[in-house]
Amino acid sequence: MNDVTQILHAIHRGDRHAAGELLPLIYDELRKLAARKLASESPRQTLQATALVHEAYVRLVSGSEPQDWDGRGHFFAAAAEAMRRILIESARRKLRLKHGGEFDRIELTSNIVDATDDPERLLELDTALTKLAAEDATAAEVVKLHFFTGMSLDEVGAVLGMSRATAYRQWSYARSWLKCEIEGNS
Amino acid sequence: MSYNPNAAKSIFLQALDLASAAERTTFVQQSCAGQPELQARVELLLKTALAPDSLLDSPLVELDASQMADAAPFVSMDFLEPSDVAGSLGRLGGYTILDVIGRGGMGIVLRAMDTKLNRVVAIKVLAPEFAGNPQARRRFLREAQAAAAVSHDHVVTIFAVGDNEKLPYLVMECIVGQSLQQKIDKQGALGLTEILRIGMQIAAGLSAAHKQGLVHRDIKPANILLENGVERVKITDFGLARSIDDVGITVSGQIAGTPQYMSPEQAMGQPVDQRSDLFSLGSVLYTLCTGRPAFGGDSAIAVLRRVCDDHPRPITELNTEIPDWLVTIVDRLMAKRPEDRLQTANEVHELLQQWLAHCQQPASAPRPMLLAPIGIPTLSEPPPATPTPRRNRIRVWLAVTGLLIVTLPILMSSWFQLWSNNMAGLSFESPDGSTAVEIVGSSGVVARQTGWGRVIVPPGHYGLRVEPKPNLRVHEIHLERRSMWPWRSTTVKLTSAPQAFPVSAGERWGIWVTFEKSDVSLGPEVNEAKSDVAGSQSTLLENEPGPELSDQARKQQEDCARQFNLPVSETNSIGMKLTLIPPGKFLMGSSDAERATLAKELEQASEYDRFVAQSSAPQHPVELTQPFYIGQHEVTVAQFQTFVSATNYQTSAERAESARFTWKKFIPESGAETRPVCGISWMDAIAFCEWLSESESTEAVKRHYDLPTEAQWEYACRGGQRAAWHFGDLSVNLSEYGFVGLQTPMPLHVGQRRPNAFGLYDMHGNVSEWCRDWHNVQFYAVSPLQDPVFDADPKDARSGRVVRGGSWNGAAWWSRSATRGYDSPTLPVFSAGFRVVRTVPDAASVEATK
Repeated sequence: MNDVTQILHAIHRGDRHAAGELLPLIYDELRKLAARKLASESPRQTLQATALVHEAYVRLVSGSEPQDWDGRGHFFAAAAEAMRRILIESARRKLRLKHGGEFDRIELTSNIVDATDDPERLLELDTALTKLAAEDATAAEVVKLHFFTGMSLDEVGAVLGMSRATAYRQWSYARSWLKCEIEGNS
Repeated sequence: MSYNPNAAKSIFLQALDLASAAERTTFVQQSCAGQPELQARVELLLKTALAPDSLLDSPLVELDASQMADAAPFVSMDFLEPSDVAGSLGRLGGYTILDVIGRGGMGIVLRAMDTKLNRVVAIKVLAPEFAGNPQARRRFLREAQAAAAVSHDHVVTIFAVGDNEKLPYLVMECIVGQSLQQKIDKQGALGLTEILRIGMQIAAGLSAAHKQGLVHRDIKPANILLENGVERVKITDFGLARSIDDVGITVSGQIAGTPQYMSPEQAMGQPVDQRSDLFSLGSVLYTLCTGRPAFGGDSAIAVLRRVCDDHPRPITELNTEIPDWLVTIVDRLMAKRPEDRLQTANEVHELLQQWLAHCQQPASAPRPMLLAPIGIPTLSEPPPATPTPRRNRIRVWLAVTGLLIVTLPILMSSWFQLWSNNMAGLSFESPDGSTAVEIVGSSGVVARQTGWGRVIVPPGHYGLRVEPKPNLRVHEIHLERRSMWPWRSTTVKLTSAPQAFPVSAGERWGIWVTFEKSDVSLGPEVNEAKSDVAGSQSTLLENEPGPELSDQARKQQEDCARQFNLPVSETNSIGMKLTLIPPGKFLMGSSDAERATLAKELEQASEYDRFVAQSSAPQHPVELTQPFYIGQHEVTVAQFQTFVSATNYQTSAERAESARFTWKKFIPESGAETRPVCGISWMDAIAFCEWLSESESTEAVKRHYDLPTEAQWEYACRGGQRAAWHFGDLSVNLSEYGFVGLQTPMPLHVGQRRPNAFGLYDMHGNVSEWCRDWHNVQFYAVSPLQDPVFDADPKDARSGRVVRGGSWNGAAWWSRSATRGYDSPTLPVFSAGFRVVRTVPDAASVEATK
């Protein structure tokens, strides 16, 4: 049994520490996948977050899935968290460059198409999301999956075991909540 | 916040469903009457919901590959405090964290600035995922203390040990350079002078640590750092180093460390001393000489086995430039038995230093003495006499036996005899009475035995030869090695007879061979039984469930009902429908053909899956001699509720704090009563059966409910069908008969799909069903032919109780009639439920008929 499958089993069996072990594995797999794509194809290409996460899933789990447990939800939740961290880290790095905080000025082109051209706003959003998670974990989970991995709300619903309508309602609420939080602070 | 966020959410969501703004306004006003803050909040949320947002409305779906790939290795930085220093990741104690250097087995390594002393340091932090684990935390702190005690040029210096409440950490010298692993990756094999220089320095560092009583336990190229410029060697990561006095953990037998460089004694989970590090050093030198590790393998287990049993490919085959004297040094370090190795790191250091001097200045530095090579015992050569001085051993024994002679005279004496006579005992067993097992020593066959046998042999290497009858093949060979002092037992499972395994004096070995039936030809008695089963059901072997199958099954049920004067089906006290299953014969397990198909399907599957799939072999004839009643449906939530209401029973999941779900999760939903109960443990299912037995028993009639045995379950499921599922071999038809592979969060109502020949529903899919038996992979090979059940505690913590039939959220192959999954009996399994059997005739009626 590979590591990830084993951890998914352990989570399923109520092991509280297991979830923490899942995240780094998926995180590193996502990085590796990106590196491989970079090596085999043209440089500076853009990647679809959703496709990447699904590919990681196929590579790490699917050979031995699905079986007697509901591993998909845990996997995608961890993948969303991993994507969030990668994006936030990238936004931080960008911000540091902007403020001249690093000695070696690395030439960075637009790393993340569109949204993270405004890294400050993304970091604010992330701070707000952390607060939301403390108040309403389900809504925050929907945001992570939808926003950071680009999954459709249908897919988010399937992963979290809720109907599309419910996923949509959770998203609407979370979206308003986050927007209020960010705008209330600025 | 003076409003309830949950209320705000609920009102917001309801308002959102309303079509017009006017309706929404009225609704919010009504819902929030008297709570202005709540109303303001909901109104704000609603207003915001309608406003566009450039960030939130364009999910971050595309990102730059290079940026992704460059992201730092995974690190959770939650434990850092914020820092004002630009470009810093945060603060930890008095250190400003600059960046992440790497991530090891148990910790993260950070580069940091010591602001007081204005120097750059490396900080190793226990990985946050281990922080909650007290054992890991203790081990980490012990590591820190142990390593801090060593001060040497070739050992990374520890400056401080800290504990920031959340996470313990260790501050050490920051080495700018690369690891030996990185160097080998780039360069491959190194030149002779470089090998000697590096080896000598590692030995010097080890020698210093060994003098402090430390064993590093994880010497490998990745833990050897080379300082930039001078390429000075620094040993780092005493991640697994423990004081050798700390028997506590050693005894637990946990294998820790990188298998490729591990010593055989470490691989076998035996206690280790400094000489274990010397083996690892030898392994590192081998890698430096050849550019590749001595022991490769597809899996950690394969590597471990090679470390214990194999001799690596001779260095000179891989690199002709390595002189014989260095090959001998590496061989002596990599001797399987610690006593055959060079004994101290200091010795190794001096030896390498002398050779280095000689190589660099052959004129002035004398050529060091050559080491004697060790004889490598093989089957063709006699094993060397044990070099351990006899006198020492006896002295130890006198001391030890003085203590033990009172308590363990019998046990000890046989071992003592073995040991004191410099012999070892091998006992071996093959359950098949007609197949001989041969023990082969260096001079030929030393023992040949059918059934059970024992032989006393001198130490050396022995091999096993098993030539089963044509209808059998070796299924598995267990080699259990037991040594008395220190007491240790290690078991290796093999699938073919080993060519050579090392046996030392005083050891006892247990060798257990199991066979499986091959389909080439069946023995007479098996053939008979098989043809019997096949004969009576020859019309039922079609792939599609013809109506004959159901007709025949119904006829058998009716005959049985008449014979025992029982109804074919009945409803019990809690409304559960039970169906009579007649006695009969069937072929249990999956055929070789089925398993071959499955093996292809599961090529990429996990080890657990393949193990489960394989455990349904060999197919064997089974007869159930008694009729029994079995639930037509899986036990439902409503039925389980009756039990809980009557007894206030708490399920395993409810008792466990960490459980994510309990069976009650589905109760509030209307109509949930007819869903099968799930999320329960085997123990819960048994408790239900016990309660039901008791509540239906009277003075006159004792009723006995139980979980079905595996054989009962499979027989009832097949209903005469020998194909993969009770309806045939084509999985496309599965959706007509059961629920599998669905993504719904819960099982579906019972009885929604077509029944099998006996009239049972949901045997395939919906919830997987607990059975009475323990799961045991060997059981089918030795199972009784009548009414088999494996209920004796297997004393194997990894085993579990059998779960059958697959589940709604599982893969199709799990739901096959023969698939035997398993889980721990105390574990609330999300997707598992059960159905019950009731024995007939009732106990009291049996008494009466006598």
